[in-house]
Amino acid sequence: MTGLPFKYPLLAFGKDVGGHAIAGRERLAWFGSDEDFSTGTQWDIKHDARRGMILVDATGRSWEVVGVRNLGIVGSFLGRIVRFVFQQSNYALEHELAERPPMSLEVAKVRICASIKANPDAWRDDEAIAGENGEPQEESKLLTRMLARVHRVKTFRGLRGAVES
Amino acid sequence: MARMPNGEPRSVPDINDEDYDEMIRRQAANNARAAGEPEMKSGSGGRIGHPGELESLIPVWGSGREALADFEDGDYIGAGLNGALAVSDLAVAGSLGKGLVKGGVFIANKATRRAAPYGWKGNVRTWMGEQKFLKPGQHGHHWAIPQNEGWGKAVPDFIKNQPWNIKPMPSPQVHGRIHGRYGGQPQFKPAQRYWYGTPAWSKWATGSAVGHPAMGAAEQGRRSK
Repeated sequence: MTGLPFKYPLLAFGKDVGGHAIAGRERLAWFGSDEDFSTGTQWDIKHDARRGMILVDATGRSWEVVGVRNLGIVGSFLGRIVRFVFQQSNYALEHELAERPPMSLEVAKVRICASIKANPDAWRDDEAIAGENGEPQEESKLLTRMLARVHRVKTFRGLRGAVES
Repeated sequence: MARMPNGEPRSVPDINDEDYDEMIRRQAANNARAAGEPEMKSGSGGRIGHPGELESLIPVWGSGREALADFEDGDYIGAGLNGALAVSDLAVAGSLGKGLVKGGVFIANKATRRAAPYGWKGNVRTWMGEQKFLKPGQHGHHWAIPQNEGWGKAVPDFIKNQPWNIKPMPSPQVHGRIHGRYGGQPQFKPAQRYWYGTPAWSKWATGSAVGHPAMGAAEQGRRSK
């Protein structure tokens, strides 16, 4: 799909949905390409996870997803079968976007750190904490190190690496 | 009426005819196996009969048929053991089926273009929480393929960071004690590590994997007597 205005990677702050959701908590997501952004899983559709998402691209421009249209299942024939069996079908999505004021890097960092602190389960390195390969590590120290990495980042493009490394 | 091995009616009365028939049936089965022929599926009178060696290895079917045949033979211990093996097979199948229905495999979006589309933190782990494989605060243990230890390092993320390789832990302490000394407590003993560190379906599968050849050997021994 073409015509989307983003410079990737695209940072997304989405609402917390699903079984263990907490109202007001934000979830982080990243999109690497138009194709990535324009497809979503069965879970996204079921929980309407894209609506209300705040998007920030690599230049700091920002948008809110105000509408989502499901264009149907996509993928190769075999891929569709496999994804159907494991209940992870991919859907083509069309988004209605409303541009917002640009977000500064510092604001983005603070918001990312708030999301990480609010979702420790998503970022837990279970095996490092349990001492699979060496001495057990404290979860709080691992999280603090991650937050420090985010604060050291100098560009929007560097944010993703700091979070996912 | 009792019959001769070739199927003709027996002309002489025999008070041990039933025992004799059973002995002939077992001998015919042994001869058929020795000659590499398929075993008679049922004896006279619609008997179920024992499965062949390969057939006995088929989960549920092999052990189930063996159990019924043992029961017909009056071998109630064998019937019980084979019945338990069939239940074990069913439990494995049930667990795997349930895993499939729950979405027991994570498939990354190929369009994601992430450096690590099957990375653990913020990715597979997040997904497992969303799908309720892991509860809030609950640890997930890489039970079959280690995540970062030894040989597990060389295994690609898309294989080892999958729900089938993740055992939800009752507590971080239990997870820690599987790997070593944790929180001032010693490492679990091997039996405890196996018990806490493997999923139920794996335990059932181990039972089936060990049980089938063991029961097959036992059955073979009984028949050759």
